[in-house]
Amino acid sequence: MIRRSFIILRRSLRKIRFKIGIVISLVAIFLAILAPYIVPRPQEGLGYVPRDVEARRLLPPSIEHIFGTDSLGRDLFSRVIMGTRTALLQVFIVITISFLLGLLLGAIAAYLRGLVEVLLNYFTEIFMAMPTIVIALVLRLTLGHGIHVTISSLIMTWWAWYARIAYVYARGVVELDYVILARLAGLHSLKILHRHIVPNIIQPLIAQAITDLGSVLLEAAAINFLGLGVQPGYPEWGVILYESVFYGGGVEVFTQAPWLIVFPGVFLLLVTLGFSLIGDCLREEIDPRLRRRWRLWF
Amino acid sequence: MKPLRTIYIVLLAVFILVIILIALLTMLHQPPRSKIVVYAYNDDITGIDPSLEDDTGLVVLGSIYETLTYYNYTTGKVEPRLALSWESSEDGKEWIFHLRRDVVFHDGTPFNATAVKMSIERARDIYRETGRGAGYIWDAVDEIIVVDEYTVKFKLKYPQKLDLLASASYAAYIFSPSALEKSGASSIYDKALEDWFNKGNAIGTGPYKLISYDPTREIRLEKFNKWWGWSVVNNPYAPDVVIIKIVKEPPAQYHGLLAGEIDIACSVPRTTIRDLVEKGFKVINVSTFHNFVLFFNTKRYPTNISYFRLAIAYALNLTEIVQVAVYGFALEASGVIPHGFPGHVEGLKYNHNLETSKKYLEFSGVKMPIKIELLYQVDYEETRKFAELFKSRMSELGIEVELNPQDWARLKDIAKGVWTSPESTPHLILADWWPTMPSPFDYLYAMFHSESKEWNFAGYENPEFDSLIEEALTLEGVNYTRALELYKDAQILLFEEAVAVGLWDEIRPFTYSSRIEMPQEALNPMYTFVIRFELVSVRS
Repeated sequence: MIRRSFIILRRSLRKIRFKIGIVISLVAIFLAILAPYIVPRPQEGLGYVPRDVEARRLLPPSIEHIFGTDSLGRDLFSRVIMGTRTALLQVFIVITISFLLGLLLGAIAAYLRGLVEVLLNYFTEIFMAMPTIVIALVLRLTLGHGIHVTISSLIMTWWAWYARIAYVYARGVVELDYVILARLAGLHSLKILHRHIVPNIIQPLIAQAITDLGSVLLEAAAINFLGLGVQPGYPEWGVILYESVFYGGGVEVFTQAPWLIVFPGVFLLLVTLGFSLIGDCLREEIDPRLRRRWRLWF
Repeated sequence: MKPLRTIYIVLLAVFILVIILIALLTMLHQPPRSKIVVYAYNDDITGIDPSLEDDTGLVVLGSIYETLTYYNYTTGKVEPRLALSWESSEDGKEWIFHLRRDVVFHDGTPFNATAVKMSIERARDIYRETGRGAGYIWDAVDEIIVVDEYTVKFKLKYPQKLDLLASASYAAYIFSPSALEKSGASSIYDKALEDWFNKGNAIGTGPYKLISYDPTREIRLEKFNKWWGWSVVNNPYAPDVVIIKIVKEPPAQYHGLLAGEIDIACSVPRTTIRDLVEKGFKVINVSTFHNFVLFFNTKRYPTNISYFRLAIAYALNLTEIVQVAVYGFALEASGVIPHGFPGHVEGLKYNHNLETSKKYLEFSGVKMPIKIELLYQVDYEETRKFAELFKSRMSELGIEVELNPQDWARLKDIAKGVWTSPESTPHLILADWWPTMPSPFDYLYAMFHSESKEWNFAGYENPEFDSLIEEALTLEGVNYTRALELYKDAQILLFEEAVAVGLWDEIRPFTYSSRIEMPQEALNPMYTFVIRFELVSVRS
């Protein structure tokens, strides 16, 4: 499996798209890790309102504030870079937990068959039908504000998709002769799952997970933009965009203070693009049937 | 060739003439735009029951209904409205109101003493039974007697300045007795009557009558030509049609003004005022009685410790708060009763001092760092900005503030929880208030009396405070000066215990088109957001 993964990675690296995606993602990870040391005003990045608000309200980009300032006089560069940390944290936690949960439940459903299979499939379908925003709203009302609301609501809807993919692939694998023989030989179910089923279904799931990074990022930003997730003032791109649009004291954001939406918007777009490019290339290599008939110039 | 050409020219001339004629006729049939005024209001209307409504419905009720008296905020005295004159007994426990004789309701039924009795009894009794509405203002009224068609007598349980109460902005409107029949209600307490009103029906005596009612989009009013006051205001340019349009977002109000879709806006972004003035729009800055107060949950640790509350109070810099949260469009509050309102006291301000704050924090014995929760309304930009500023400043003291933004309905539900589950109610609650009646009792009772479980978000219980304001209320009818002294003592008590901090008294800029003329008297802060359209002139 490791060898095959290496081959897929090597093939993907031949593509410019993949390289661009890798560069963008690595830069984002680098920024997220080093954010407090890179930004000039880490406190403002975390939401602190400076003492001299009046003098610093809505300043355009300059050497002192390279992304300008917001309506509470905070340095936007610090806010956006600190936001990278939140964005990646949300995405990685959501994808990791959803992936593991989906893999486990999907494989169990396919392997055990019978009532367990039926129940788990119904259970999965119920969660697949749930809109994330509605779940976020319910969690917001019960759990209050916080990053845990954004993460929990996303996990609750995303795990089901992994469970479905894992189930579909695992259904094919459990019918294979060596799995049937292993069963007849009395090998423990956990061992069969661990040795024979999971390794054969994990690759498409990984490709799916990488492709989903961008979507999760966008959805997390949407939840926070709507005020259902993290607290106001939190360094998160959705919150920063919300503050820019509805918080600017009525300024014409697009014409009078475009920096308020351009910088967080561009960061959101770029990181989403980076994740999507990587995911796309990996999927094509893992499952050649998905390879697109049309090609991008790169 | 020539005659044919002449025929063509004649036909063309006739065609052009017909077009012009059609255009002229169409224009004649359309109501002239100049007689319509569109007023943009920033919130949904919560109801228009004249006896029970106690929220945003005031914007509509103020033009459709009238009260017995009218509070003049410049003189601080009441003036005749539906009552021409009144007198009280020496002990202030009996009041007689002599009513206008030339008044009719919008459906043509005559206005009389029975309508007054019915309207006030409904507001009072429903409040007594269910606690709904603002009928508490009539608490002292024991009996209402119809002396004759145009005289009504009030017998009170304790002395009251009833002429002042009769000018209240809620629960004092007089509706037509014919509403009973039209709604199919069996009595004034029948739910059918309330439903009928809130479905968009109204029969008042005011200068405008209700034409259509959509509480989330627009309310249309039409000039009531038989209003008794037209000869008094003598304003031939008053609008024929008034549209109250619900435009929640301030930037949308700004654009509506620029596009000519809105004539008067009450909530344009404060930062756009200068731009609008430069573009030829006019502005009236109204010093309102709408104030913002930060309540401390006095039943939960650590805000149950008065030293801790004082520490927070002294850490607040009101000058900075007014600049950051409302762009300077407010007065720094002194106490919980706003500037210009009866009973306002100067000098009840915690002068920002971090050293004093730290000293009180030490006295409080609360170990730092500590986490507290702030509940505030999410739909106001000023409260959102205050919350973030507050969080930042408190972090300098080692106090971590968790922000809990909610819409108004949810905020009220959570805040009321201070009486039933104080431990799960936030430590701090930011709320706003505007008055019902022109008496300090209105603010002090509602927000701090131990019986006011609906609005006392601090959960404050102090028998001394309660008896002070109760005594002051009874003295209002006989010794107003003494009553004001007692109200002052009550406010000092609140100040010393730091039960709540008055943050700012709002200055609201009403921006309007140059084709409108609006005198300052059209905007009375006692009747928050109500515009007296009968005083507004529309010029083409």
